[in-house]
Amino acid sequence: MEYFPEVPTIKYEGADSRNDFAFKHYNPTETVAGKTMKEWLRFSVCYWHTFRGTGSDPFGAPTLQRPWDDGTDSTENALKRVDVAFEFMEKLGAPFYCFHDRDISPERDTLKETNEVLDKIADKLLEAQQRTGIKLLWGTANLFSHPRFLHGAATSPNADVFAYAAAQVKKAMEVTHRLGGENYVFWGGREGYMNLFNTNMKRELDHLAKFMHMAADHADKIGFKGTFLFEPNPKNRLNTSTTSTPLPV
Amino acid sequence: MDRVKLNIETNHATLAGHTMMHELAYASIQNALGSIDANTGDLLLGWDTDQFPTDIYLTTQCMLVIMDQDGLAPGGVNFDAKVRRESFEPVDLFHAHIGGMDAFARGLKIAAKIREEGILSDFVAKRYSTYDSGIGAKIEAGDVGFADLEEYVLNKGTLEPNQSGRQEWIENIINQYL
Repeated sequence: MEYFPEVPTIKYEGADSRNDFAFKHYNPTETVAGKTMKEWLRFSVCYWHTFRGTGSDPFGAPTLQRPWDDGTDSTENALKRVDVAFEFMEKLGAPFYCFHDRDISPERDTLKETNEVLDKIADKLLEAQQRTGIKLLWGTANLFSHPRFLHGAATSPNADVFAYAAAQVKKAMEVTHRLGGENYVFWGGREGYMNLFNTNMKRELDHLAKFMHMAADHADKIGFKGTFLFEPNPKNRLNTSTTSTPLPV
Repeated sequence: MDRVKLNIETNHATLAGHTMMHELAYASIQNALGSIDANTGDLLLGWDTDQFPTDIYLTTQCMLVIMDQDGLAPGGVNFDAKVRRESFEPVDLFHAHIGGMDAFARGLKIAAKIREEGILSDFVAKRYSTYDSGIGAKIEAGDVGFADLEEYVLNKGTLEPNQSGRQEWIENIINQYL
C-alpha cells in the first residue's frame, strides 16, 4: 500500500530546477566545510505535527486531509501510521525522526495496557528503522495532553500524578533506548505555575529536581547514554508555563 | 552535567522576545547547545505557530553558530513544524519539508562561505585583540585585581582609543553572501 502515490522520491536537482518535488539546495552527499550536508544538518521529521496534526485550532475544527487515518485510537490505526511515516520519510530522504510516546501509540485504560500497545508499535518502528536505515533522533513522553496533567507533571501538587509521570518517562526512555534513540527530550508544557497564591514554588522546584535525578538514575540503570535535551519555553500559550525564567523541562 | 544539553526552538525564542541566533549563541558558549527544533513563528502573533522555516537570513544565522561548534551531533535539525490548516492536502507535507530542508541547506552553504573567507571572524578577533597581550591578557588570565588596574590606568594616562563597531558594514558583508 502506497500512501503518497503522487510523490516520487525527492532528489537534488540544483538551484535551476523548477520541479516542486526536488531539492534545489539540499544535496545530502555534497561536502561542505569538511562534512556532507547530511552530516551537518541531520534532518529529522517530527511525528506529532506531521502525522498527528489535524489542523484544528481554538477557533475551528480539523481541516487536514489524511485519508489513511480513520481518526480512531485503535492499535491498527497506529500501526498503519508507522507505514505512512516511513514512506514519507523515505521519499523525503530524512535520516531521522522523533516522537512523544502518545504520538506513536494510544493511551488505554490502564498504564499496563498502554505500555503493551506501545511495545507493539515499537516492534513495528524497529522493523521499519532496520528496513530503511532511518534512525530515531530522540524520544520523549507526552506529559501535557491528558487531563491528569492539568496542574503539571513533575510539578503537580498531586503526588500520584508525579508518580504516573515518572512511570511514563521510564517507559518512554526504555522505548527510546530500544529504538537506538540518540537523545531524550524534556519539554514541560504544563510545568510552572499559573498563580503564586496557590503555589508552593519551592516544593514544586524541588520535586522537579527530584524527577530529573530519578530520570538520570534510570538512564544509568538501563544503560541509556543519550543526551538529555531540556527544551526551554518561556511565554508560551496561556495554558502553559507563565514564569519568565525558562523552566528546564 | 555532560548528560544535559538544550533543545532550542526558534518559535520559543521569539515568543520569549529573543532571537534564535541569540539563544543558539548563548547555549553554545555554555557548551549546552544539543539540538534544535527548526521552525519559525509569525512575529505578528503571540502564538507558538510552529511554521516551517523558509527565511534564509534565519537559517544562515543558525548555521553560523552551529558550524562554530562543529555541528549538533548527536542532536540534529528537527522540524518541529506544522503545515498551516489552510494547507490541508497530504502533498503539502512534502512541500513544507522540502522547503525547510532547502532553506537550511542554503543557510549551511552561505555560512560555510562566510566562515571560509573569514571577514567576520577576522573582524571579531581584531575587535578583542587588546585582550591578547599586555593588560588585557592579564585580565583574562585572572592575574590582576582592581588595585592593579587602578595603578595601570594612573600610570598609563591616555587610554587606547575605541574602534568603530562597523555594524552597518558588517551587515552589508553578510548580505553579500546571501
